[in-house]
Amino acid sequence: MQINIAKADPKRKMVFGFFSVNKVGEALVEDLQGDLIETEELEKAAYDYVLNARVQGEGHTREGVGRLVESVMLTYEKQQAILKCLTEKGVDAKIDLGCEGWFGGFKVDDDEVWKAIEKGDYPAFSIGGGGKRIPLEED
Amino acid sequence: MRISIRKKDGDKKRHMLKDITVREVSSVGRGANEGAVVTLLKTADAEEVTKRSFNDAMRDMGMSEKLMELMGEMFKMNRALRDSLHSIVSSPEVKDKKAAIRESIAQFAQAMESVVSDTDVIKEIQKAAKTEGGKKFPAGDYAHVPNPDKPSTWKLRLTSEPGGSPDPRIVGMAVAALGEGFRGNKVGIPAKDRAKVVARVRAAWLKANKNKGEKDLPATLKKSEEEENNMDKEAMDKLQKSHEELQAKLAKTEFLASLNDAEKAHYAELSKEDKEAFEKMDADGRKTTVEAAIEKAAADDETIVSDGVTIKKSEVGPGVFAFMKAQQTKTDAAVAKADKLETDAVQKGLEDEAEKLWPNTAGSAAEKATMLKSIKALPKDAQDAQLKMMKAADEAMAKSFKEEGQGGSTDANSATEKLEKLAKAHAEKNSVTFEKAYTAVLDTEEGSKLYDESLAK
Repeated sequence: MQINIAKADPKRKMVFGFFSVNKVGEALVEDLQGDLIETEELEKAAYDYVLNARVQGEGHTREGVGRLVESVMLTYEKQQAILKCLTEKGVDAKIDLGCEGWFGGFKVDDDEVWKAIEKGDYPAFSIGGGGKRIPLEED
Repeated sequence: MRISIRKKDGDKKRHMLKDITVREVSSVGRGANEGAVVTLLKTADAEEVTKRSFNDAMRDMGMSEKLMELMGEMFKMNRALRDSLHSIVSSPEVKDKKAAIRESIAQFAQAMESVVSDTDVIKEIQKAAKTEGGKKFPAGDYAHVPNPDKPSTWKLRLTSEPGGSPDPRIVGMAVAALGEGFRGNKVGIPAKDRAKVVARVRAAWLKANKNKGEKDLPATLKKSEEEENNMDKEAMDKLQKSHEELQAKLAKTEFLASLNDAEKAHYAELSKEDKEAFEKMDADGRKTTVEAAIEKAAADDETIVSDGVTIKKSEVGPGVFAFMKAQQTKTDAAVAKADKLETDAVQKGLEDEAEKLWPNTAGSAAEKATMLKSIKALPKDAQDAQLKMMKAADEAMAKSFKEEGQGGSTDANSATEKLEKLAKAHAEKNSVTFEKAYTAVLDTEEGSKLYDESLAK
C-alpha cells in the first residue's frame, strides 16, 4: 500500500434536492406563479432534460455552473414498484413520500456558486425552460 | 416548509403546464415551486474544512509563507497516513495488515524527516518571532504586522506573554502610542493601514477590559467611529438625494393628475422647456394658455370630408391627417375615374343604339346619341312618336341615297359630289367630322343650292 503524499482528496461539492414537487397526496401543487404540472408532464420533461441538457444554472441568468449527477422522478407508481421489489426480496422496506416530484443532484463546478450554496444563499431549485400554459377554468 | 397545494385567492389565473422542455435547473434563493429545496450537501469532507480552518488560523497568526507551506505539507502527510491506514484496515485484499501499516508509517516518517531537516525552513521558523524582554513573540501578538517575514517591522504588541491573551497594561501602551504617544514614543502607522490597526487594538482592548464596553473606549480608538459617522453622513446624503428625487417624481405625478384632458393633450405636445414653464403656471394660467392654443389650432385647422364625416387635423393629429388626406385624394381620383368610365359606357351605348336606329341620318354618332337621349327623356307617348318620325326620316334618307346610287351616276361634277367635296374640305379645314362639316356646308348658300339640285335630280 503506497502513500501518495501529493494526492489531493476529491472535493465532492454536490448538492441534492427536489427540483420540483408537483403533487402532494392527490392534489396538484400550485407554484407561486399559479402553474400546475401533471406528473406525466413533469416526468416526460425530466427524462428529456437528462437526455438532452443536464445543465445547472445560477438564478436562470447563467448556465453551466454544474453538472447533473442524479435525477429520479419519484412517482407514486415508482415508489410502489421499489417497495414491491424490496419486499419480495425479503427486505422490510418502507417508502411513502406522500408526494410526487423530481429529485436530483449536481456536481457544482463553479466555486462562487458553491460558496453561495454552502452559505445558504441558494437553498432552492427552480426549473428553467418552456412549455404551453393552458388557462384553467376556475370553480 | 409548507407546500401550497391550491390557493384560494380568486384574482390569480391558474395554468396547467404542458409540453415542457427543461433547459436548465437553477440554484436560486427562492423558487416558484415551494417544494423544490436543497435537502443535502455533499461538501468537502471534514478534513477539507479542517484544512481551511488550519490555513486561516496560520494566516491570522501572521505566519510567514514559508512556514505556512511547511505546515501545509505536514498536514497533507498526516491526512495521507490516515487514508492509507484506513484503506489497509478496511480492504479484504490486504492480507498482512500489520506489515502494510508498518510500511505506511515508515514512508510517513521518511517524508516528515525530509521536511524538518530543511535547515532553511528551521531558520525561517526561528526567525518568525520578535524577541522582546528575552521572550519570542509571534506575529499574532502584534497589531501591526506589515511583513510577517520581518519581525523588525512588527509594531504595537498586545500581549505580555508570547501567544497569550491581550494584556490591559500592554494594550493601554499600544493605545497611547497610537494617540499622543507613550513616553514620547508615537508609533508611525501608514495611513492605509491605520483603520485596520485601530480595529485590531480596539478588539484587543475590549478583550483585555472585559468589564468595560464600547462607550468606555479610549478616544484614539473611537476615531474610527467618527469615520463611521462620516460614512453614515454619506449614506444620509445619498438617502436625502434619493428622497428628493422621489419627492420630485411624486410632485410631477400629482401635477399630471391635476390636469384635465385638454391640458394633458396640450402638455404632451410641448417641448421640455415649454413643459417646465407650463408646470410653473397656476391653474388660471394653464387654463388661459390651453384655451389660446386650442383657439389658434382651430383657426389653423385643416379639414377633409370623408363619407360625409368632417375630420379635423387637430383632432386626429398631423400624421394621421396627412395619411387620411392622401387616402381621400386617391379615393376622389378613383371615383372620378369610375364616373367617367360609366359615363363613357353609357354614351357608347347610346351612340351604338342611335347608329342602329338612324344609320342614314346625317350627323355624328355623338349628336345622334344626344338626340336619342333627349327623346328617351320624353314621356312614353311623345317618345314613341318622336322615334317613329325619326325612323321615317332615316328611311327616306336611305331611299334617296339608294335611288341615287341606283342611277349609277358617277359624274364628279354632280351636285351630290360637289356637296361631298365641300364637306370634306370643310372637315379638313376645321378639323371636324365629316358629318358636322356636311351639316355646316348645307347651311351655306352654295351648299343649300347644291342640296336642292341634288334632290331635284
